[in-house]
Amino acid sequence: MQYGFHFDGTRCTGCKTCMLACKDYHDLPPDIAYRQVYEYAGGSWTSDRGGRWEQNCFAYYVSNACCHCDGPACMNVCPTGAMHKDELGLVSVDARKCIGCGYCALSCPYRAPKVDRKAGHSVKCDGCRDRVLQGLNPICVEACPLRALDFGEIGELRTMYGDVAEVAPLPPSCATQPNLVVTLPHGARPPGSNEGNVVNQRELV
Amino acid sequence: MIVGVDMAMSELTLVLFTTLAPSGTLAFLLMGVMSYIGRIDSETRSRIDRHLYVPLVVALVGLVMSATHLGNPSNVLYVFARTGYSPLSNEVASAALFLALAGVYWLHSFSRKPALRLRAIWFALICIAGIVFITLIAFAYAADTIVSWNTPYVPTNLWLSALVGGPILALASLRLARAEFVRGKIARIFLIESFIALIANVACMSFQNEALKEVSNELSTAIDLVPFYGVCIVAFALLTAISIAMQWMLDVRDGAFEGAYRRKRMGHDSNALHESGIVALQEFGFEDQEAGSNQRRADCVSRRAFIASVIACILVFTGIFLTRFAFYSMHLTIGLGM
Repeated sequence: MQYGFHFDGTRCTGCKTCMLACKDYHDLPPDIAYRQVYEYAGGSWTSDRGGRWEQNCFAYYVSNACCHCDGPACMNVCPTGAMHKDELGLVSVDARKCIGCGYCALSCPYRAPKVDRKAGHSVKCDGCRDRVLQGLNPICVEACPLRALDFGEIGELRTMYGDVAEVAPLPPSCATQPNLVVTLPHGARPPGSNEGNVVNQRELV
Repeated sequence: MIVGVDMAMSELTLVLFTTLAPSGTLAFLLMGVMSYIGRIDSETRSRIDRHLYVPLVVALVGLVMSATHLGNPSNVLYVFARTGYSPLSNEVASAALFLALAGVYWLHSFSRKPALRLRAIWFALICIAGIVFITLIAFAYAADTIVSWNTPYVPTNLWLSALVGGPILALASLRLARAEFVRGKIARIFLIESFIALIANVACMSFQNEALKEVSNELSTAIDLVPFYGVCIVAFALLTAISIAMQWMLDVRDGAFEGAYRRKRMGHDSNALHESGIVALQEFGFEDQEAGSNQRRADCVSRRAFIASVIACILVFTGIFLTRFAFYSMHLTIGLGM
């Protein structure tokens, strides 16, 4: 069994309800977020000889949390085995083993794990495992007012939504084989295209 | 988000660890080797062995420092569970092995009847463990996703830093152990080695600094995270060059004086004594009519020389510290990590 997330870029308005619902449900401090919304934008205006102006501007949002990858960078580097995959395919931290070295946070290209310095160990999105075991969706999926998020068995998600698993500013999917399905937003750019920037960097934690 | 300089500040203990442990380990090996070369008497040998605690403590301080950055050190034994899989587990396991072997070796120096053959085999094992330890520190952050760290420059820099700092710490420790025979020729070899490593390290870091311009992810470019890397490299070069020059004055030039003293003594030229051989006089245990005052002067000179030696170590470690600080500042993964 391998669960994963679906993100529909054509629906997301960047409202960040998913992010806040997650912070609320998991009672996270201000400096830690399991889910983040990236605003990716680029392009500019150009004028032709006749003075006619054209633009190729674009902007879209990407809501992302842990992708519970098949080749998780965090698990590969974890020295204690605290970072592990459970029977649902969800990657989470065993706080009884974690030493809080932060190597998982250093290696994840999605910035999913964070070190909670107060608690003394790493913390991350566990796909709301307790809710999933009760047959419920993760809180972010439930909270999205645009129904831009979905959660389920990754095979089913791919049947329903296709198998695209990357979009800028996320890393290329070949790096960690994320269990993520993306419905590409309008104006989507591939990872590493350098055509746009994350323009809400100050909002990220 | 914690990025760039803030990142290095938050990992300051790791900066210290990677500054001290590789050089401390190499210094231990270099110093230990000195007790096997030439025909040194058993007293000098045991003095060298007993003073091995100096590089050992330097390496140990680094390790203890690195443990303080852990959120929950009480779980630390789980680290051995992933030996062979996680680069960090490998590093910690090799550290434990090296320190255990080296610690026992040091304790053995207090034995009344040292087992010399076992001691040699034990030291060979320490050499292997030490080299493996330094190498595993060098590769501790070789994770595919961390683009600014997973380059050949990073392990090369770490090894070269050990080769720069190790001999200087070894010479200071040998001075403390009053292993006078290393002064002159051996010290010259140590310091030339350190100097060559310094040149190579500066070249390697300069190429790395250039390559950082090409390393970027969706949030930043590596060079933007460490715009001060060039300054760090220059500071490292200067501090280390001063340190090597100081050690050279203490152990090579002084050693040459000592040679002159011995030659002259053979020619019964007692005037050379006061000018060049004060330290040698005391340390070789020669006596003459003015032994009392010479002893006091020699003590004073040798204390000053030791302090100079310690300052040389502090300079070289400050230099390495700056480059390690830059290293932690440049952390950047593919995608979104920094």
